[in-house]
Amino acid sequence: MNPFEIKTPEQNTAQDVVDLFVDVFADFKQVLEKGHTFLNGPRGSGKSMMFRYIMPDCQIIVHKCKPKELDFFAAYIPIKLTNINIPDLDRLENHASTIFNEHLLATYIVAKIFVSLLESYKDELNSISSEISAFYQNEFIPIVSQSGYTITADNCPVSSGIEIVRQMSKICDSMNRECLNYCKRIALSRDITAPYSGSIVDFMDFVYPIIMSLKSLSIFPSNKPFFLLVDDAGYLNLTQTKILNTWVSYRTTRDVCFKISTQLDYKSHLTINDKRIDSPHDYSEINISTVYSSRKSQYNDRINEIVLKRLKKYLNLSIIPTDFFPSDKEQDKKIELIAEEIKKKYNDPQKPYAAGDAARRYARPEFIRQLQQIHKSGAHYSYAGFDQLVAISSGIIRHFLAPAQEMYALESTLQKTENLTAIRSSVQDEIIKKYSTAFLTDEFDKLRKDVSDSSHHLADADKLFNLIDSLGELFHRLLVSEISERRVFSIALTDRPDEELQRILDMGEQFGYLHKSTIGNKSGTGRNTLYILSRILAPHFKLDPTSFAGYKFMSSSTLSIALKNKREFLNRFQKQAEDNSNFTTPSLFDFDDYE
Amino acid sequence: MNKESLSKTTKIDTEVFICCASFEQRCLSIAQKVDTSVIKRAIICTFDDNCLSVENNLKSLCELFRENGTVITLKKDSPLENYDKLYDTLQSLKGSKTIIDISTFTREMFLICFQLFKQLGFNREQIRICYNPSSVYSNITSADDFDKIWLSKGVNEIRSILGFSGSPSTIKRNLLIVLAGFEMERAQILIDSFEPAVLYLGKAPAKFSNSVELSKINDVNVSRLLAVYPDAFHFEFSCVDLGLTIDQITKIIEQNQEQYNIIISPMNNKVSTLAVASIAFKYPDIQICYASANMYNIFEYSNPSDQILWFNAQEIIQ
Repeated sequence: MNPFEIKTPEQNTAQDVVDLFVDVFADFKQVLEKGHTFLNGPRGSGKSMMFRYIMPDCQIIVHKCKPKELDFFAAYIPIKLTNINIPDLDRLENHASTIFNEHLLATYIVAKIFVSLLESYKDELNSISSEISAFYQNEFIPIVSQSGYTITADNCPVSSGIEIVRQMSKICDSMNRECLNYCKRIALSRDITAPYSGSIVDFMDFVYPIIMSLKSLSIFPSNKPFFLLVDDAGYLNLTQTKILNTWVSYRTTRDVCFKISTQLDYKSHLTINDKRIDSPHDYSEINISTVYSSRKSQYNDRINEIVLKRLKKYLNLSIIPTDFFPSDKEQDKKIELIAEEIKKKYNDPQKPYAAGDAARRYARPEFIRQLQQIHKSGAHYSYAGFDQLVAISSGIIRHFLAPAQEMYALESTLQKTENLTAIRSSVQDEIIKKYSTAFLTDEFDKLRKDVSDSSHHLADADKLFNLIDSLGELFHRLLVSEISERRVFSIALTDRPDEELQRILDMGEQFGYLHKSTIGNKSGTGRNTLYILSRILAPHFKLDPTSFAGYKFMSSSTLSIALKNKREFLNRFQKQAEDNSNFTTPSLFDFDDYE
Repeated sequence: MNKESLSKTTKIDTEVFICCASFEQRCLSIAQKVDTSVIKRAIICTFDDNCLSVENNLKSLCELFRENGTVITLKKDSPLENYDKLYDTLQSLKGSKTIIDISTFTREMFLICFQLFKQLGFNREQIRICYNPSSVYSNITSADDFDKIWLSKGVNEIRSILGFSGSPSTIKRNLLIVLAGFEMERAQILIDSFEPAVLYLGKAPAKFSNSVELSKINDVNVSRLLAVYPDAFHFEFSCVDLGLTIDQITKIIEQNQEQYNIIISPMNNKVSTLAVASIAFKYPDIQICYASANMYNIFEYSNPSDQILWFNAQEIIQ
């Protein structure tokens, strides 16, 4: 069993989830609090795992309590790609788009609530069969009937709580599909005058009253909110997104709270009336990458715990992660020697910390620089070691686990055993370098830079890759230069980017190549946007992932050059790289190191 | 299915010819065999935002069909708009003998064309589908050079195909069937985006492939995907025979459709995609999905072979 195998949270049992989960809610308190919350982060940053953990079946295990003793009831609403957003719905653009999309979303969510109930409560449902039956007859059927849906004798089960809940989920499903089938029909026939004779529901007359009535059942925590965990809301179409925002704008948080996850691809924060929902007024917002890139020690601790738990659960090992993922000891010794030389050079009795500080800052970059001189490709720097691997993962848990999974698989094959107690540094280094390059999908080898086809213009993907390639190369050149601050990993824009550059930067953030933050400007009068290169790219660009304190101010027009012409962009900095004046050292600003 | 040698083919007789201008030379292979003296209309599709090689091939097609050619400019990520444009054009042609050359259409667009034929009431007996397979992809002829293959990079959008969105149930989980081709990155992005409860990975063995080397390349891709998704089931399909692919996928559907929403992603050649289309017409609840690429290898995508494969629409459109 590979201890680093990644399963989707849905594939894990409640016990597995509880065994493996590392409590991150200290970092993301708002997720458990009353109120609507947007939780943003790239794939693999742990959003779905958080949602899975707060589902009732896991919470019952964690708190060792009964369902009605929980602090909230959470229903999981995964928005699966192409389930609710299909191109056929575009036909509705001029034909009751909001009404039909809201019906689809409302019935989808209520169906998922019932599915969640079945998965979370099972036996408890049968223990209150009569209550559920009364709910069904007195609450559910009237609400559904009012929508125009015809309840037949077949829809009226007289059996157990589980069967009744299952039946309700089927009815909601049927309401959803009759509308979807109508939408598909008119999409192809183009006849928007075709009458619709199915049911129509929305949030206020369907979702909300059903939830309020469900809450009164004895198995639910009383006077506690219902959390609707809408996972991957970026997959909704624009109209559905606006509808969800409209629901967020309703003052329902005492009873119903939306916890909405996105992969930084959420289409809009406007409601159907084109009013904006705002943070913190309407919702709280968490950006996982921003949290972890600014609080590295917390992230380190989380990964450390995750590895400890996995090694214990799957291999029954009590080994500390730095021993399981050892660094290259030969390299460490050489870096240490350089550090000692630097300490001697910077020794200053007036400033007792200067020598150590300089050693920490310059030893590793100096080592990489020396390697560059000996081996032009600089390919022999080893990225092995737990601390480096954590740094490279850039605050995204998956970017630690996925390469770890491959390292374990390779080492097992090479050692011909599943009972590993460590992964050799050579294996770690090989895999992490491949992973880093693959993260960029080998784009740079395959882009045709010298296109003689004059009408060929660059797609956004080309511009993004040019930008990342240019920044990566710039940072590498700075790292191996003689300037005082070599560990530059980010740029701070001095002005607002134009539409094209902003679009590409947003794309870079969405794909995980860049993280966004802010930094005080030089004049102290405001803040500039900081774009930090993902450290996953450190092996690919031969950068030092363990600390990147420096950032470079530049104008948007300068950065825009990088979208199209890497050589011209780099030439601009050739001279400046020898002049320290444009590089900002960390001591002046609040910017944490890994040290 | 019938096979013909392209070089030995004389004039192809039809009233309506539908094709798609592309950076691939294959877009001209069959068009150049059409008897332009009897043709009523040639519908030449092209996508906006094109490169020079597409513009050049479009010009060649226009010169070929002259006043009988109608250019329809499509948008890459607007399937409904494309459907409407073709709807308006094809409406008046529905009684005609029609050939559609799917060689250089995107999978999405030619499947949309099939829905159009059905919607507009085209006589299926009068529709023939033709396809000029590629002899080699990305100029790679050996599986040892698998890592050098590139046909497309990145995924722009994943969506269901208009008219083939199926009828996904809100209370079932998803089962994804991938007919794997050569593009591991695209397949992986698709699978990771869907996060299906169950995954079936299909490969085309040598006996059902256009060449042994192509099947070896496919094999490498599927093996790598199975290493990433060890819980996936695998099955075999055919790149040359509709019937086998239809049978294999039908079995999967019959076993699973009660429990799961079935989604199929055809990522191999057009013949296997035709089989998927046939299945989707028979089982309208299933969904066909499509991953549009960010960019294509416009310089070395494919080489035309000396074959034309012919299919009758009755085999596909039901």
